[in-house]
Amino acid sequence: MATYQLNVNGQRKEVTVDPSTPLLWVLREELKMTGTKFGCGISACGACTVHVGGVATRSCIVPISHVGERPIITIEGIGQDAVGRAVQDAWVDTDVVQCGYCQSGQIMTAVALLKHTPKPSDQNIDESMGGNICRCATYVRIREAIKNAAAELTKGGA
Amino acid sequence: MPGLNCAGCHQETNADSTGVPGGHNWHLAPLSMQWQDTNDRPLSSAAVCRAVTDRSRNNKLDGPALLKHHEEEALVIWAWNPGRKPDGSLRTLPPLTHEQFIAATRRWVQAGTPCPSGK
Repeated sequence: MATYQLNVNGQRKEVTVDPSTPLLWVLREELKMTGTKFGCGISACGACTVHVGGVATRSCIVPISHVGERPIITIEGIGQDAVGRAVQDAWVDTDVVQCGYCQSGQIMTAVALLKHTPKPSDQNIDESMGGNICRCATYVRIREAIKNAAAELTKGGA
Repeated sequence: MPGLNCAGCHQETNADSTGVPGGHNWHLAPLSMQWQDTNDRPLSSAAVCRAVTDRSRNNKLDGPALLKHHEEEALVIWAWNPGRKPDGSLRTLPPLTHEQFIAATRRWVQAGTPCPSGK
């Protein structure tokens, strides 16, 4: 066991866990932040996506010992900045969600995309979101919501 | 890709508990440097050699720079510390040591980086 000081959504958190524990389980089991979902456990589906040091990261396969000082942003904190807020609003306005299980990961990846590429093309969206699987097949609405969020952010000058 | 980076899974070092390999600046080579075709079949030695030595495709590396790349590039050296697979078993090591690899590269560079003939 080892003790780690984490920066999660701007707050300091201390956890004492085995160094091999994936970040996902630290978030869900130790910090009781269950917005981030377990999907496949092998980084193939994207349901567990969070931001680590600003990079959309599959938390199910990153041991806590590899996180270091990098700040962690989860779905619970993504609404704190303009891009995250715009994506969440677009998700609601576009009625993206069906069952919802994958959607926290979808939103985290969409925010990472828009932070890097404010006006993404269809190809940008397909390539960036292609690793986030949705069994309800909400892909068309996801693409539409990302474009709506991009338009809103451009209009707002964010 | 803007929202789907290698670093989303691959960290600065191997993650042996999950089997995800890692290293500094982890990334695939660009397609111009490919060593296998689109069906994952390895290219011939001649084709690989041409790709490695073609300065329009190899980041403008001449012979001495290729030797330095083999000596110092972390992702090259990673091959001798590849970590564990998700099932916990060790990844296969190259059939020669890094020192032997460098010695062979040096001989090849001193000979003028010759390539096999053929396709």
